[in-house]
Amino acid sequence: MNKEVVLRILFFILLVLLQVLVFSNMRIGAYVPYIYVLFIILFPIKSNRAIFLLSSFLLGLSLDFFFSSGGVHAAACTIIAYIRPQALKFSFGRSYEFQTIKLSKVSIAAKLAYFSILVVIHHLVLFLLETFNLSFILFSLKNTLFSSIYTVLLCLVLVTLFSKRKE
Amino acid sequence: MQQVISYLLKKKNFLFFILLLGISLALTIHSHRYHKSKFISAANDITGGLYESVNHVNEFINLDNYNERLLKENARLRKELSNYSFHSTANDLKEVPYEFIPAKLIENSFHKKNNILVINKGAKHGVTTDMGVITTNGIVGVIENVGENYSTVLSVLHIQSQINVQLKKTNHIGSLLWNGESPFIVQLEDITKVASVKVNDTIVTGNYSIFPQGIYVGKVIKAALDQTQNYFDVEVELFNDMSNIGYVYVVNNKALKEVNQLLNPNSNE
Repeated sequence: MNKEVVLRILFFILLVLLQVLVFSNMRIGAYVPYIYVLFIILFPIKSNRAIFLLSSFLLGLSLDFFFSSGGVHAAACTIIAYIRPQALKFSFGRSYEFQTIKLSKVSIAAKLAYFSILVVIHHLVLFLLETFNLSFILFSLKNTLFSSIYTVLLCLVLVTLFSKRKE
Repeated sequence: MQQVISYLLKKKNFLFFILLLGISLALTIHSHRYHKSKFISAANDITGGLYESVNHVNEFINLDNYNERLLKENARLRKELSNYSFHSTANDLKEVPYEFIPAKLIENSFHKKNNILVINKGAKHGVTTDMGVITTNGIVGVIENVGENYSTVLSVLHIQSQINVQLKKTNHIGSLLWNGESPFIVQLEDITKVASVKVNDTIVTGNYSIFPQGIYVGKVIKAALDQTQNYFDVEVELFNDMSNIGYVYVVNNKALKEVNQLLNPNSNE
């Protein structure tokens, strides 16, 4: 139990560092992949909801510190952490609550749906709050679309690489 | 009462969610409204230190480039100095109302709408809020938040940035804004019809501003009268390449502080 908590904290730090030092510099045009959402995507399903919400909030907040962006990332993270059960239910069916899902075993379509729902909502909230100005709404939507595609693809690659190595 | 408590207990996750969301939204709104008194900024030792250690690698790659830029600046300054010493005494130099604090940009961004940069000088080195930041080639932005060792800079490429500039030729003043599109092109507003702006005119920093007067900003690439036919809509290409900055100078305009004190004798700043 304790080992799991320590691992999760290490994963948290690793993702923040990777995001800030590596992936923020992997821009394509103006589109940045925000792969740190993997922390929320991969958080154990059977865990205390309040702890999950709090750690997602803290994850977003630590990125806000790095990007000097107020509470934009924190808000986006808190929202997707809160709606994650609905996203799970939609992508994997009602059964997800009774059996532990192994991401390496579900179909690629379900995985893609699950990743996309969370990433798109995260990016939408992020870009809308970042500009905070309705005259930039088209920019926000365009940015959401392309950045989401980029993030989802990178996340899928990372997850596949990571789970392959484990076996 | 018991029912209320049991209801609250049942909804505790939702309430907790609302609390966290409320905090983050409050921080966001605060940062958009008063972007100089932000709680959340990279001007602290942890984020600044991390950016700085990574920047060493980056600096190594760009070293040639920076050296060449420094040499060019030195040559230009030497030329100006030789000109200067003919008709002035050394005493004049002491009365310069500006102080330049050299600093290094350790985190650059130019692809967002709200670009905030980080430099490796802070309160310890005499940096305070609202100082201008320039390079050899032009302006970079304005100091936003100051930490002990690091500060954040509100880039000219920030949709809330507004800088007082003028036409070099005719001294007509206007404000420099950014529409959030190209990181090389900014917009100039409030230039009156009489100014007759032309393409290739040079834009410099204005008279009453945190920057020294006459720092080069950019050149006009497009100028047309707006709908009211009274003001020009001007597009300005920056002299500074915002994607490759490196070393900067923080400008402490001592005269401006005096002017501000005269204008607002009650405020402490």
